[in-house]
Amino acid sequence: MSKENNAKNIIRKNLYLNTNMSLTDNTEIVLENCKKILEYNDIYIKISTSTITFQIWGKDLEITDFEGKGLIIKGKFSSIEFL
Amino acid sequence: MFNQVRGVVELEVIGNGYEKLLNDAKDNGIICFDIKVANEKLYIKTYKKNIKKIEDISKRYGLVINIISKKGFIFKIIKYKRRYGIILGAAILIFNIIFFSNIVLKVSINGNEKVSDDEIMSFLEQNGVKYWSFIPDIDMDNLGRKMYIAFDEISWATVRNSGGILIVDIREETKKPEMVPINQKCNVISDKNAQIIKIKVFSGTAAVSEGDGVAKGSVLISGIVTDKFGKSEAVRADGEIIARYQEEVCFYQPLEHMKMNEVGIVEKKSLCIWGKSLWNTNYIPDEKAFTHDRTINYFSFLSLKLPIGILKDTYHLYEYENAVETPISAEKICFEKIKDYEDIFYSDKTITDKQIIKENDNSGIKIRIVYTIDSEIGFKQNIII
Repeated sequence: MSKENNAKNIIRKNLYLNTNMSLTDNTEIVLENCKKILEYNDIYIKISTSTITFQIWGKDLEITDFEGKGLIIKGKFSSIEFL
Repeated sequence: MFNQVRGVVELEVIGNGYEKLLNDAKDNGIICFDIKVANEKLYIKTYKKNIKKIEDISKRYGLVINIISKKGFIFKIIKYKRRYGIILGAAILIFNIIFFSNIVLKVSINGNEKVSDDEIMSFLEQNGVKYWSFIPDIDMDNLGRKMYIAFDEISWATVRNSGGILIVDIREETKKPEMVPINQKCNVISDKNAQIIKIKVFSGTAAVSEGDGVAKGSVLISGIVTDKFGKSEAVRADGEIIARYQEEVCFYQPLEHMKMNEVGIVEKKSLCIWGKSLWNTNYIPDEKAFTHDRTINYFSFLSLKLPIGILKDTYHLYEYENAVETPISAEKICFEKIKDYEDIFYSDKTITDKQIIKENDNSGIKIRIVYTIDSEIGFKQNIII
């Protein structure tokens, strides 16, 4: 890892800019520092954050709160994949 | 509650790429919640103020937006935004509530017995407080203090208001019972010419015995006690003395007299607010004699008593009539008077004998009664040493 990347990581960590995920069972995920919803329907959601991109497969996926940089997704998740 | 005020709108978004709408909404600080997809349509909820912005974003991405539902009190009000009468009415209502909460509509005086309501009202008027006075102008603390100083009978007074009602709470001074000094020497003196039936001495020396006749003013129990060594000392004489005495009472009923007959009842009802009639009810009956009762029945809503009520004035009208009694009816009236007299004056005494002497003349019936009564006599008279 280059020195530049290392410095970026330290800054992100100290300023809490990293992607923070809190998962409750396979029914709820609270996501911080979300950047964009790339794709969304009731079985699939693809999200881009400042550091990663990931997708969730499941059933009855619902975004209950989308404001600022936070996001809460509810539903029945079958898989979470990091791209 | 806040949602009711802000107004929540549920939108249906049709078209491809609604993710862009969500991202743009987020970037523009538009709050969206309860986002879900069903039948290839996006459903979102947002606040009323964001609708215009979301519509603009959706136009940019070629999306169609339909409003599914609107929830909130704000949407109900908006319907009436061009109904100027309602707006004006609401404004007048608010103005009235504020106005009537700040002027004296009623004065409620509590806790007064010795000082009459009229005296307190007159005092308040002297201090610039009357109906329709502006409440914030009234110095209530000072008024309470002034009232305390002005009336000797008042030991504590406070003035406060509850809306347009000025409440005057008063606590009156309870006079201390007359203190009888235990060392005050006295005799028990007869207050009637009587014959002693029973005498019981608690302290002092009996000056009379049972069967004795006593004159008014004579000593019954002496406050001077002499011990077996011949030494005298004064004490506070006390005892129970039952005596028999006579009293004569005369009752007279003229054969011709003025009689007051009830000729009718007039009831006047009016709507009142805070005890004040909405229209003038200065009704004065034509009859010279009448009695007047006023009652107010307030309306109530659930258990809440409303300030609006029905004021009912009842006038009992009387007419003077020149009545002529027969000797028999006049005697009957006389005996009714005698019965009333006995109920009032001799209820706590025993009437042992009653001598009735009737005297008739052309003008009326006169009945003299000589009562023989058994009752307690005597009063305490201080001995000044």
